Amino acid sequence: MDKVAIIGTAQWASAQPTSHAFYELATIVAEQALHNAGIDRGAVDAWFMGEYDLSVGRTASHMYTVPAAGGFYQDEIRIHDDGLFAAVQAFLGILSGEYEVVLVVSTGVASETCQDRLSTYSLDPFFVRPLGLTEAIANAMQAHSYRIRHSITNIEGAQRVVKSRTQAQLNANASVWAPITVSEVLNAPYAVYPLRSPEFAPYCDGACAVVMASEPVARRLGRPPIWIRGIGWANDTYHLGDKDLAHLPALEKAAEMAYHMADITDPPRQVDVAELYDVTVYHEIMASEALGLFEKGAMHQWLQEPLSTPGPAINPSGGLIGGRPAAAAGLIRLAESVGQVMGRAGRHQVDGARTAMAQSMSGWGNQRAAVMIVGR
Amino acid sequence: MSKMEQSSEEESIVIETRWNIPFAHHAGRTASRFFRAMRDEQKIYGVRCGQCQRVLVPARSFCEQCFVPVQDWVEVGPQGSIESFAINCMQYEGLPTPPYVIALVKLDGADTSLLHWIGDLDLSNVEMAASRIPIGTRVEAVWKAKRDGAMTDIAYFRLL
Amino acid sequence: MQRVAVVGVGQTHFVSHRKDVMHSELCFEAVNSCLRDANLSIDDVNAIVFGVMDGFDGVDCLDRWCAGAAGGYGRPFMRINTAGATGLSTGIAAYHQVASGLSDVVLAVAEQRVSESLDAQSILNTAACPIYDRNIGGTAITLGSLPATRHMGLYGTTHAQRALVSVKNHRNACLNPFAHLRFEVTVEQVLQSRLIEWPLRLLECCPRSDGAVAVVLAGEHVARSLTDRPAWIHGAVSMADTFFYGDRPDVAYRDNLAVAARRLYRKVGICDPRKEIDVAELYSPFTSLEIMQTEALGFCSEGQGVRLVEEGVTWLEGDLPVNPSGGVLCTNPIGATGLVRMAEAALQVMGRAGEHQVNGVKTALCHGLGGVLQFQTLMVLGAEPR
Repeated sequence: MDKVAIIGTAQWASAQPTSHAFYELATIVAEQALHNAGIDRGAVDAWFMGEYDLSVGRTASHMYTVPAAGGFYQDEIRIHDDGLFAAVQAFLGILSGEYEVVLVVSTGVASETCQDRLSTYSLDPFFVRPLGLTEAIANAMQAHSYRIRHSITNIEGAQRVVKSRTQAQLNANASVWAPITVSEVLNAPYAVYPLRSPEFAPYCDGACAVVMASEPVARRLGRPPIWIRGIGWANDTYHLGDKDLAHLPALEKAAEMAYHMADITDPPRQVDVAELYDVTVYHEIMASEALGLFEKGAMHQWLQEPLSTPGPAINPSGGLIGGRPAAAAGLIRLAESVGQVMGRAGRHQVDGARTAMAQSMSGWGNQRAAVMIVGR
Repeated sequence: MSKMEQSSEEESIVIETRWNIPFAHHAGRTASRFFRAMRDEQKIYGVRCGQCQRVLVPARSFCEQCFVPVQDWVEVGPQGSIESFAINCMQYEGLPTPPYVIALVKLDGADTSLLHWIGDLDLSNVEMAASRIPIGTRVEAVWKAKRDGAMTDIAYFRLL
Repeated sequence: MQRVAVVGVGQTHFVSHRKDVMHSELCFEAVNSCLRDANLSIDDVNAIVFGVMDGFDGVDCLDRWCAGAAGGYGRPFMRINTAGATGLSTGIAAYHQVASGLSDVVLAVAEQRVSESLDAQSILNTAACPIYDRNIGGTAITLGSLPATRHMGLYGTTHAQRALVSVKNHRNACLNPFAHLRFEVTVEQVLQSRLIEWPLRLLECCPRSDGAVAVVLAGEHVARSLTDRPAWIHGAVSMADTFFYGDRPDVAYRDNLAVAARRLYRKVGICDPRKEIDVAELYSPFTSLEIMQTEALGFCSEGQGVRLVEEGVTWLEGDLPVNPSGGVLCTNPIGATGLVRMAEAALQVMGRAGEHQVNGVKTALCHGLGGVLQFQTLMVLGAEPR
């Protein structure tokens, strides 16, 4: 199989709702990513957008973001899902021989409307939407199932929040920097029982761009490229009542595909860093187990200090607990993974990281998952 | 910092909009039959997949796992047990007033769970309320007096 | 990298309102029909690519609910949305997935239930920039009427000439069992139909349709094992233009589509499109657009688009039939429409288009259009691999 490299990334995040029009963020990250890649917009063959429409109140919102990201008289496609899915399709676009250099762009402006309220509109209008389910409620129910299954206490959950917030403080691109203590978490109001508000990833505004290139182009640039070693993506079921909520079967499938491609047989030893899509702190745990990085339900083995303890470092960036910029959140996991293997993650750099994996999920009960493994 | 960054003194114009668009959703033959049975007979139906033999609730016209049509109607419930739940404590515009309990209820005779409300529960203290409905708690559908052929024809599930 | 072919297609009958099924069931119907057509089972399918445009169906991210209905349970699943171009973008994404060599069989599925929204225009209006031009009251029809006016001004095109496009496409639709509007019209009837937005009249504008379509693509080895006559994909392009309609140098848009076409022709080795292309299925929701598209695609020179229809070239029996299925003028399930074009082009190449089959098709072109004439997608399919 041909190799595909990542030659540049850029992130943009804001602690406050942005005063930019959402598409201006596409310009900011696209310019920066191309600059970091050391290439010109003219070298890009295709734009792969990963964005949602209703979150910014416009149908066909890529009408704004494709031109804003520099896509003019070149190929474009918009994956209407989290940005990591766009990265997967972009990778396939290069493998197909169709493109040499592509730009993956994801804007995630969450402040234009209540994203969680909006989520009810992606439910069928017959069976579920009339009940007032939101994504937060579905995620809480999933976390609840998992907690019960593995007898996890609220203190352990609170410890995860503290860990993620501590890491986010080291990450210049995180939106939520405020430190928090276990007792503050335990005394916070319930958002959706059994989860208190700090246990949910807070929505924020952000954006991310990633430049990918075929092997010949990447080698011509003369810098050591970061290679995409494996990808996987999968879907299970929309129906929450049809599945065991304590599992993430789509992610297990996606991981299997990615590991196979990357020739990884012992994930805990072969993966150095995992940037996971932790919509709640429990989803961080569920995801790392679905990825085979830890044994199922073995919460007590969990690392509190991702930077220094042996084994895969989980969310050294602070993950989504440090800010969830809607559709950009997954692509940021990829940018973080690339930063780690380049040794340029900054204060949250994991020593000697050679192989990192980015992961994303979307849909009801996290019915869909994508995984991308990168390495030097 | 990007050159597009605004200085904080510049006034940023905000334009408010609202989607207010009417829709009429046609439920189709299968779901219509499911809703008619709720409205007219106060009964809940599932369908049995001829291949995997699972009884799927709410009724649907195909099994997505086996990818075959299903039409073997089976009455389920009205009693069942709680598989999982969450108690929403946040107020969303246009959604029920919190707190409310959303649960997955596995109805007797069904292989999948139905999402619905647990009612008739004192929610003044959500932790106390939660402790009254551990996983496996038996519940029963309570029907609304005036029914329209909708999921909300079941007012809620009450504890047995 | 591997060669890719279409090996089967499935369409639902397009109508103004499918009341007997819900969204997911409509997908299930199209996918099953497609699998039957290709003699495949869902177990043979490696991945799903799904297209729909958000808003009309009254369900945001419809892919979540409908993934299983499209065959997505336990499979890689990719959701595409490029506005009106969605359908063909979905086909192109599936093409890339198979061409990459990672998958051998990929299903492209697209669906739209425009009827669920009682006011589809208000959804389209949300695409207009709320900061600059949402209040102006431009409609989807404006996309056809502005270029029509310009074409009249530049080339003296008459209403009656445009009406001929409608006569041709309605006649074709009568031969296509899946088409939505299946009745013949005369030039007189077109000219006397209700004025919608000057200069366009009702019979010059597409309907709003409910329906779903699925196309199954396979790598060379699998394709050859399934059928003697697959429709080989020779190449595709999609093209982005600027957001503001007023930025286009030529609102009759021989600019962006012409550039896209030239790029595609170079890629697949077409020198003389008029001679080398045997049939075209275009995203032409208005009579005016079909005329200008045929010019942009190089089927004739600038301003001569009306000649093609007047002289019979683009009719079913002509030299280069355009929209033999009746086209978008007679059937428009918006986000699915581009994939219907690809399905119809594939059927023509496979020689299985039925009553609207064009004789001896070796090369077919299909087209998708999205945004405010902003996104142009094109694909060439052929009877022989390239």
